[in-house]
Amino acid sequence: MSESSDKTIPLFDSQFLYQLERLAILSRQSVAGQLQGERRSPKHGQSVEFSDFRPYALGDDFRRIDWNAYARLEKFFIKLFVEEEDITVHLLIDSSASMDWGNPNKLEYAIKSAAALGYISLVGLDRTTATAIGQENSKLRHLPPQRGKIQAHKFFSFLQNIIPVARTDLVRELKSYRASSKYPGPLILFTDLYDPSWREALSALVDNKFDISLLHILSPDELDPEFRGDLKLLDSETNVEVEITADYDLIQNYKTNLTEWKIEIQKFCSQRQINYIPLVSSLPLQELLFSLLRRQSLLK
Amino acid sequence: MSFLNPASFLLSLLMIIIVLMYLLRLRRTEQIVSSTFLWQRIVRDVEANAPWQKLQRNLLMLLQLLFLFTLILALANPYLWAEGTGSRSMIIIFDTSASMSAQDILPNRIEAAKQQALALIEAAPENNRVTVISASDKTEILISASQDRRQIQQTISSIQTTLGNSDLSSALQISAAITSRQPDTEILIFSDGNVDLPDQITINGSLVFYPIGLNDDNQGISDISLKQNTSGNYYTLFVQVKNFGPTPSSRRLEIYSDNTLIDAVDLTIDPYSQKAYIQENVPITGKIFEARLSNEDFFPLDDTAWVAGGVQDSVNVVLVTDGNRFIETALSILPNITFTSISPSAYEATEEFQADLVIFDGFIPSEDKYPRSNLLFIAPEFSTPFFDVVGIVDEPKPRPVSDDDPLLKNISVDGVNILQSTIITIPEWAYTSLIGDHDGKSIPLLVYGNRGGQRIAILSFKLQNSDLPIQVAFPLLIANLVNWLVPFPDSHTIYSSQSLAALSFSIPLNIDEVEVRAPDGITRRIIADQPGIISFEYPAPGVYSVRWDENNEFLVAANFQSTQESDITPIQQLMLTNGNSTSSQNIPLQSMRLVWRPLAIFALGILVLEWMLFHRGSLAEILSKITIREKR
Repeated sequence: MSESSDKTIPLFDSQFLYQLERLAILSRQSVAGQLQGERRSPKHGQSVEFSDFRPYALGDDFRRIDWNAYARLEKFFIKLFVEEEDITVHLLIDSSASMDWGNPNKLEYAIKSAAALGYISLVGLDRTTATAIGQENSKLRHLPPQRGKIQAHKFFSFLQNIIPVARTDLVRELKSYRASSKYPGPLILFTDLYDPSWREALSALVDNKFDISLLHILSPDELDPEFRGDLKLLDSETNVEVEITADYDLIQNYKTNLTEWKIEIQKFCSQRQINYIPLVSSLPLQELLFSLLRRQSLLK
Repeated sequence: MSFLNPASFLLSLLMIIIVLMYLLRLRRTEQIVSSTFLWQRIVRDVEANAPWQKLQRNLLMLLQLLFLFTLILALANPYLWAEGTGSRSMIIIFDTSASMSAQDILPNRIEAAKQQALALIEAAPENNRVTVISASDKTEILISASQDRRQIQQTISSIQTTLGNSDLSSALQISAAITSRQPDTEILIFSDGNVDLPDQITINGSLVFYPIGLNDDNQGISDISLKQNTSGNYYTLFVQVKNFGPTPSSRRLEIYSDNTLIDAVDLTIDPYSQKAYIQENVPITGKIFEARLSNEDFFPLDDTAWVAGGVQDSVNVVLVTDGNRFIETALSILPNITFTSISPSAYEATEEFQADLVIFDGFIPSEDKYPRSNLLFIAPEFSTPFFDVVGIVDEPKPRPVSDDDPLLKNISVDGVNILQSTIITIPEWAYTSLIGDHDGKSIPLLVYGNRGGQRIAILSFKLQNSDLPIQVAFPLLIANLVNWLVPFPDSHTIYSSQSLAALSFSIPLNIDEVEVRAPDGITRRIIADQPGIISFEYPAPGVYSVRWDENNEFLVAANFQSTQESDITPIQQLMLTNGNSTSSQNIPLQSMRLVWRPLAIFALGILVLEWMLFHRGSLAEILSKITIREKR
């Protein structure tokens, strides 16, 4: 990773953070939260926004009986209000060796994107949790849900400490995350998806409680390789070797294959209600946050 | 295909090295990538595990192998045998005789020969030296050892046929002289055959005969004459038509008098035979009589003949003899002849002599007594200033030298026997008309020629020592001799192997220049070559008008009559005596063509293709950039 990922250097300046505070993470589904927040909850609760009536039942708080209704109908009705609770935003960052690649670096880009989205979430009084997929150290691996702008520093610090790991088992990691995570909410996965079992991995994550968005990050040199000649390609993550003669035909073939792969992912995600957002790490962060993700209905 | 340097094929071993280099794993540069996940998907399609399959798909390797193979092939210096010449020097002899104007090949034979020759020159190496010779009765070197292709082509294109006979002797002798200096010279002869060839010739170079011509069917007018009958009121017109072809033929003969049709007959002539047409009582009012065969055949040149009429002046002949009734009788029956017979002693005693023709029969006058007149010597016993007598021969068997000889026209000497004859040397100015064979040797019996404007003929045997005077041939021979010796004012001149395409006739000695009007109306002034002799070449048969003053104008008919040329039968082989061996060829000339140049160019093309294929990515990028720029 480059120097910019060093924890001693702030991820964003205050001006940028101020801009971020005007954004909010959108969730396509309302989920029941833990604490009162600013999100519509499927539960009925204490907010000022009327939701429904229901007949009074034994044990109900009689203070919530609608006396006007009783006057008209001579029956007790309980007035229900919309409950507003917080949600949990899950940020999952693939920290495999393949992500530590490219110029701009994909992992660095993923961390910055996650930091921005996490900050938006924290400011929006949503619970925000971050997980670095592949990290062995549990402290480095997972940041428990945080809430409020005050936790931003801790949140940023966690992200800045993410280091690339040699290998990740995406399927196992995502399965494990789904099983261990109790809180529903939007889940944003930052990965290059370079795993032969990517279908299985994504399937493992699919759950009703998550509103999943996949930010598929590739670097410019992965989209358009510049090397030519007789080469032995060495996988930075798996050390697998592939011998190629990188001529014009092969490069064209690679590009075609990449396009087909992305279309394949798109279809797979579409079938599983996953919001697929392909990215190139050279895309400016401002454009990502203030334009692309808004168009993709991840932010508003 | 054969190879001059087959050892170069040893370099083919390099091809094995190329294949091995492809078979062996390359020392590849390591390139770390984020993931080989996608690359594995591609390589699964591209790189087959089987090495042979891998080789099959490697276009670059195939191109490299093809390049090396083509290069080795070029180094092996291959050559092909191709029709055409491959030597550095070439002599092309065109038979430009009259028969080459036959139209059995369209447009005619000479054009076909020119086309073939031009094609050969086109295929010849560029530095080839070409000599072009036209050969008919005259031999002319049109271009000598030229390398200027354009000039050669122009020269060949401009070649035209003549009215002459085919005589390749001089052309072959010139060729022999050239090939003696340049042995690798190829001599190409384009001819329809029926040519005169040298008796013996040695040619160092290769000799190739290209036969020209397809058909041998031809009929022509072989003779025409007009004689005033004894009454002097009418002409007798004689026309002879000959079928030179191998099949019977029917032709219509039309006779015109001053362009007015006066008679027409259908003649059916057997192969190689002739038929005569005789019309007596032709009014003497006609000036020009024309015989024409209607319906053109392959050789129209001999289908028309002319004869000029007009009352002839009397010819004054003096016969110097001790008495010869045979000659006197023969002369007496000739029209327009006034002859005087005197004894040798009387001749010697006469101071001044005026005669058109003087005949010395067995008598040689003293040296100062030779008249300026034309002369006929019969059995001269001694040498004269004109010829030498060198001996006597017994029983020579006479035979004609040529079929077209004007002195032997309509004469057969087959049954003539001669007891004894003097042997004379043939003067430079003379032609031999009749020769006698004796003990394997040939001696001249009848020679004739023009010596400084004076026409002279020599009959070497005494008429009394021969049965010739009692043969039908004799009066005809005397008539022919008189006709030839006293041509002025002749009624017509027959084209022969001696006179060729030239008219020659006597004029008064005091006339230096005449005006000749050709049939096409063009008038030329001709200066006498020698006192009393006018000769000029005529471009086409027809009636020529000759005049030197207002009162003296006469017509001369120039006809094409050549048995040799009218026989247009093409031959396929030219028999040539080459040293002691006879060889003939009609096989197309095979020459060696080196083909390394196109192979080298092909190899270069493959190399460029291989380079472009290897860099096609970069080239595609450059092209796309250019396209984008243009769009902008």
